[in-house]
Amino acid sequence: MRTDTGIIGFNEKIGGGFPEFSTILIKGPAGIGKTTFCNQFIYQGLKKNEAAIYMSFNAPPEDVKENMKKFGWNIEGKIVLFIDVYSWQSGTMATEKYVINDPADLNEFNIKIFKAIKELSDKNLKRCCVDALSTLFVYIPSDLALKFVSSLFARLKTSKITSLATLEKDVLDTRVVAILESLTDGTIDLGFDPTEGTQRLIRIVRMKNTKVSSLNWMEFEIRDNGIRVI
Amino acid sequence: MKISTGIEKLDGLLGGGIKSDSSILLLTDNLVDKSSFAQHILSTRNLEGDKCLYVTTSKLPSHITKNMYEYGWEHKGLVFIDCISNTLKEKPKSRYALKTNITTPKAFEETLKLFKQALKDVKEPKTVIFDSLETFMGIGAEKIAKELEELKQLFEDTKTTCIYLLTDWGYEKKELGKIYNAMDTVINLSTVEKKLLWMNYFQFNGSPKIFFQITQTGVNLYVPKILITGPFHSGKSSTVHAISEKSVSVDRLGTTVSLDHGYIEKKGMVCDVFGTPGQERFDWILKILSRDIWGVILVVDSTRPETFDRAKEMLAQIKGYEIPFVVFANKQDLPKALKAEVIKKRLGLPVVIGTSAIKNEGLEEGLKLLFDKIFNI
Repeated sequence: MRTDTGIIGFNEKIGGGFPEFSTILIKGPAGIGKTTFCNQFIYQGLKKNEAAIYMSFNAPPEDVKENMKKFGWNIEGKIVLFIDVYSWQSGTMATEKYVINDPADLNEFNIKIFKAIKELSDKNLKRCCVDALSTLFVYIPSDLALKFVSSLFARLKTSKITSLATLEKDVLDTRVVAILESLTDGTIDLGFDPTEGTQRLIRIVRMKNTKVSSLNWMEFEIRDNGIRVI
Repeated sequence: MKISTGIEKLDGLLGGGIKSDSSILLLTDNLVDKSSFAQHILSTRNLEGDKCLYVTTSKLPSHITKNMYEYGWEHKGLVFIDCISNTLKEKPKSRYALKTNITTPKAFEETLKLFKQALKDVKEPKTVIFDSLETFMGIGAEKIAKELEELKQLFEDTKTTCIYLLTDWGYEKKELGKIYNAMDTVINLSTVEKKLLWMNYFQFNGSPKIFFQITQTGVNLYVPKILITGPFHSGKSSTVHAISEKSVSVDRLGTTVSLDHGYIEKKGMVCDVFGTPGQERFDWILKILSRDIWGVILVVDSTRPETFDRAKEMLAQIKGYEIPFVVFANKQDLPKALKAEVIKKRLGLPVVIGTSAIKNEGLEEGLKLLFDKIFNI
């Protein structure tokens, strides 16, 4: 079974979609479209009345929703549970159920994710995104963060969820990235064309159980209705 | 000397409490809120006159005091060894603040330096929460264990009881073994997952699992489910209502047609209570409700001995599970009521307590007996 990526022109490049219950890394520089990629993937599921968990590190949930609206992806009334790992920066301790107050406290994070999965367990929970996973490594020693990520990915998989996790380019050292790759089922690189700075490129680096049409860089653009691979 | 943790059953398991001036490890899985558990203990120590220190490697001190405040736990005079504020770009308030980023390899050594200084500065006796060790596990269990071993002498000299927290994120047994060896006591906190529910428990030295929940009043023991059963009109609903803080029942013409539900929270115990209907045509519900129950209260009408066979039959339907149970000989307030002793002989069952649900008599005593049977300590 494949999970529809929602990205226009991309499913056919990877045998119809992501492998079901897989975890995929999306790597790339700031501003390339990693978050849009995630949003489009999440919305594709919500559209079909699937539920989703959205872990947001770099923006508050309101901004994510606003951003989605700009592409015409209205998620009002859809079942998406935001785990807010951004708002702690405001300095006030939140009482909302899924706001992480101490981003370095993986225990709190883990319990809240677990509760979110349980809460949605009979709501057709199919998708999750972690944007950006690399932020974790800013305030947690990498060995510990990797242990946590490994346990998180295992839980997502056993909960029958297909997940995306984004990595900001050059934030992590190559050893950590290599371990993260070993913990996931696929890697997608996003980047700008070095010769023509504004052209966006996408490349499938690896994808388990998938007949990949090409491992070369392909062009993509971000249009009014989302990402389109050419 | 043994000192109390404030968690009665835990003190019981430990033969009166934790040993003062020793190293204690709370080893937890990743679904236990270990910090709150430890904070409950710290608050108890604070109230009993210890000076309290808190080494934090992941939570902001202001969040820790806020959490303790919300649970109503004493946090006055807490001294923080704050190893996280600078990493999170928050201005530390404590004089013991780690200057380097917590993610750097030197962080452990620097943290210990601050910790030792604080131990020397703060008056005795004292209790410390070290929250938590996993932050440093990347440098290797052996290195950590060596340092912790060395700290023991300082704990004795400065009259310090130290509770280390460590979440097991899948470390090798060998690694954990090294940490164990540097401890005087190891207490396990873990989780049982059941479909939609999950429950935390603590355990010491292979003891039975003691389930707990952290509720508004702190660490409370938790009995997931107690079933109240008995024949038609024996007073099950009244019993559920009388022993529960909150209860709901689905009635038709004053008799329960589906089930009662109640919730008890007192004396460090928390439990859910389910009452069953008594009519035979609802025996199928009895079977469903009797799945994974922890204890049974069998309610009989002391004025109607003709219903005793039915009562035993109802108990028989669930007895196969070896569930702890007590019999409530209800309606003791009525003149024709048989005495509990007489009913005990008639039924041939070991524990029968005379109760009156209406007058709220004997219920507390009966519940206590059941809890003792369940926890068996």
